[in-house]
Amino acid sequence: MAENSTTYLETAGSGTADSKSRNARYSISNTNASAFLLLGLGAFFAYFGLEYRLGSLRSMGPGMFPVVGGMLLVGIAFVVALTGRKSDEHLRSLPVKPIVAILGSVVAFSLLLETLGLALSAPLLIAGALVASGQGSLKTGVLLGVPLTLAAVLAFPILLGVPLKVFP
Amino acid sequence: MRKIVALASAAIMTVTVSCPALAEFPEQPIRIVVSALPGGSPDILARIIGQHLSLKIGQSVIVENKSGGAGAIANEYVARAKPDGYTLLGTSDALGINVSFFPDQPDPTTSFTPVIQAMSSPQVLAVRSDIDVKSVDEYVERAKTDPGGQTISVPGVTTSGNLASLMLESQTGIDLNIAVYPSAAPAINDVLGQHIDSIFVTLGPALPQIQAGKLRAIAVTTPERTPALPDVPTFRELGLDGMTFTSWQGYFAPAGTPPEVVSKLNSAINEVLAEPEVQKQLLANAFDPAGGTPEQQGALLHDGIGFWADIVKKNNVKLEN
Amino acid sequence: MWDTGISGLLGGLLVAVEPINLFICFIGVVLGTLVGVLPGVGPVVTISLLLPLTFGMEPVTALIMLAGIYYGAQYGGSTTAILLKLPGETAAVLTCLDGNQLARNGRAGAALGMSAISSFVAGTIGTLAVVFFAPLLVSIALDFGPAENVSLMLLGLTAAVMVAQGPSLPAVGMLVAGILLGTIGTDTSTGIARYHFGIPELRDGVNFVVIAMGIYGFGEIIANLEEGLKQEKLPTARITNIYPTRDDFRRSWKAILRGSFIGSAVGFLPGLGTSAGAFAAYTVEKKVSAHPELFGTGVIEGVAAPEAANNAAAQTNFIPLLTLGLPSGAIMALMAGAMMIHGVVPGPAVMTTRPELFWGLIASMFVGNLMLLFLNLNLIRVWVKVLTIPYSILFPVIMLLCAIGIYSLNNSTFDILLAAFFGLVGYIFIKLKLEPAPLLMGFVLGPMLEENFRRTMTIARGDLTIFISKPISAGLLAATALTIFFSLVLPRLRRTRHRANFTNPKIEKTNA
Repeated sequence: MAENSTTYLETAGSGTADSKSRNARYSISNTNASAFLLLGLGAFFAYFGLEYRLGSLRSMGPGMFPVVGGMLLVGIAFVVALTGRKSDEHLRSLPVKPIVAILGSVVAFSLLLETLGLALSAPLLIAGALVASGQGSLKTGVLLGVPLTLAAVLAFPILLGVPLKVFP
Repeated sequence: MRKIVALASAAIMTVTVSCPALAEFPEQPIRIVVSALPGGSPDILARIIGQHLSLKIGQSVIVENKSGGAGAIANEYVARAKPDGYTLLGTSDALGINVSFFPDQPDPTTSFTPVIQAMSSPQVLAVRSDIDVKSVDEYVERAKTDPGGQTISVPGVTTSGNLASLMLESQTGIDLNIAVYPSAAPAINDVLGQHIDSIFVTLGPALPQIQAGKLRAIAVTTPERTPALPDVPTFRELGLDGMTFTSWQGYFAPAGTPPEVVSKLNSAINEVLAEPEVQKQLLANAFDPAGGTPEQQGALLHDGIGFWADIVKKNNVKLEN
Repeated sequence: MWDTGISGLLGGLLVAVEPINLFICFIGVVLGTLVGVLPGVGPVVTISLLLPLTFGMEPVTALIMLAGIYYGAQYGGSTTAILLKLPGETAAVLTCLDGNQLARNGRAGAALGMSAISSFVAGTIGTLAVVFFAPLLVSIALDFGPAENVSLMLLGLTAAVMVAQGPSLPAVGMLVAGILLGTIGTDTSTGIARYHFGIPELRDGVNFVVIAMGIYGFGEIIANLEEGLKQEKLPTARITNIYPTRDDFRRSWKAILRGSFIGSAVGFLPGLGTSAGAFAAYTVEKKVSAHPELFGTGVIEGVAAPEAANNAAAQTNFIPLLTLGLPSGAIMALMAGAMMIHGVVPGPAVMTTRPELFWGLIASMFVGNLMLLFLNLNLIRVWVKVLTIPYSILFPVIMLLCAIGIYSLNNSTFDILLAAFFGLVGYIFIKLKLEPAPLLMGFVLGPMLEENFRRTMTIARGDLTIFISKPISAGLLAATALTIFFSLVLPRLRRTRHRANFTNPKIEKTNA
């Protein structure tokens, strides 16, 4: 297993090795970040799984499977972290703007869809998307937003009968 | 947050939209919300009835699938809908059973106004045909030779099939090995494949297998024998009176729906249920067409809640940990 | 058996080529393709959205239309997977791997064409399997009880790790993570909802499409925008040739046949549906290939094999429904529901009581696939144009379509919210070069593994030897062990021996 993950890391690190990032002060290697992610996920499921009955092999409770799986994942995470020193690719700061704009507009869309209706929430989503791309002029917004909203309204609630409110 | 916004907007709409003239109901499409995926039994029933109802009332009837949360999502959605008769809940006896399992869900007797019972159906106890068990007596006898060895599949923990299996255990003093499945189809599948000995399930999905001789029905739960299986005795006939119950599906409106609207819907659906073509379609699916007054449906729900609560309590069935 | 098969099929063809049925079948495949192409709208949603169109039709016509919609939606889904890397269902995850890479290399047309051709060939083989081997296959399917299912899931999960670029420890980790995500929701055996934290929508777990659209849709968009912002250039593909070349066929015909065989052989097993066949076919092609390291970088066999398996399985998937009346998954449950709405009760009796319906439907599978072949080969020119749209215009469209598509799964805005969360997770996966394919497969197979394992233990009263005392289960476990040995242990032994001059071929490839 250990050997294998080393192979992976060589692959992962081979792409666009960035010498700056290697020496960056507050960076974390891809390997360690992956290990942390897997560790967190495993620990989460194992810990909250303890709320449920574990049971016996004959009559397994709802806790057994996720707790054992979570612990297995924690173990895997440790092995990944311990065997992967050779990684030279590093995770730097996350791009805040696209993340906030893309996910924010999707979240806003989901919160507003059933109250504002599709005809108003769709343009909001598109506006958010254009902000994310950093090239959202008012003109592109209108040129893209109007026909797209019309098409979406026509396709989903009208033609396909998706039970979606169109107007507030 | 979302709920607050929705509630607020619903409240505003109730105020601003003035009462439409009742005589004209329905003047817009009616939505039947079912807690089932398309193709599930409540969905099928709603689509069959909806199709004919829309011809009768001259408005389209839309079946909306809001499955999830053991019915909670559909229930809450309809309970919060405007009480104008345009949003109905298509539900089943599970509405009453779930009161015992999900005490935090809103009380169905106060959240909804009953409209009509649409169908009834027995639950059936069946064994796979290669096992030499032809009656409930023989079934109990076989179980006693191997306590905890005779397997039975049921389509879910909170289903009447599971609860009926537990009742059978306590009333006959046997110990069954209950295997829980997510739905009827895989539960039947493993009985046909001889991995499981028997099954307790709604008649509908099992009927084709019984007719094909792959499953042998040994008793039904209804008070009277079911027309689809005239030779199969009821539990009541066999002296197991405590196992007498009927599964049903019916329609409810949000509490506060005007009685005129409810009675209009009730009589329209009653007429639909009396149509020969609808009867044929329902019977083909092993749905016995029901009908009747809103009060009858209300009583059915009310009695069911008490009946199942008693069984759940006696058998100590719990959903916590 | 052969006799009834051939005469039945001929009779069915006569039903299927009646002008009204031909017309309706065509409408079905066109609608299915157009709706299925929408991101997030897989076959289940497409069928349920279009189901009301069939009301008022004759039952056989209605079923022909629904089958057409089903296959159309699958073809449409492959198109989205190849062009936009958006898998609307499990099997399409595999099509994404090489299909989208081909598109990025300017060979979208070849990928789309090969997908259509292999789907047609496989669909035909699958239909023949239904005609001639249905009784045999259904008896095999019934032999698969809980114990056999467990062993099969283990084999499937092993295959899912093999799909990853290099079968690696992080890939195993992603698989386990997927299995854990699958435990969210109501536990079948006890009725308890796990990890729902008081949110009613989570009581039923997370939908596959929500995760897939989150990761491949929103996550990918963020990553692309980041690249774009950094390099002031957005990823667009140059298109070289529109159709698959002679060389593509030379490389793919064996993959198509193997994929069809694997898909037919897995598709009829209840619960597994079409996805496991696609995973198995991809893994097998990777194993037999002379250049396994090129898989995932855009090889045409990597499209042909899973597409073939997927479509062959889509045919044999009908077997349990048509012969026993027992739907083997969500799509078949929908078909069963549609039959019942039309007053036809699916079950063992359908073949004898309604032969025109049974054989008409089967024959229309063939007719529908033929229509889809022509339709899709002609649509390639249209679809590749999608890639010429600048990404800055394309991605808002993808976002909106994804969001509405996710909503239409269960008319739930919460699902969109959840997809946004998985968008963030997916972006992190992309940054860390963690492959989502094993995660998605673990997510699909994990709950089935747990459920069947616990059921086996209940039935066997805690006796683990049941897995080796049942012959089918023992055979599958042996196959799993052999797969692990040949793919993981053996190469490593060799590698250790040649350690001194070992170089990883992938490195050269990715830099090339």
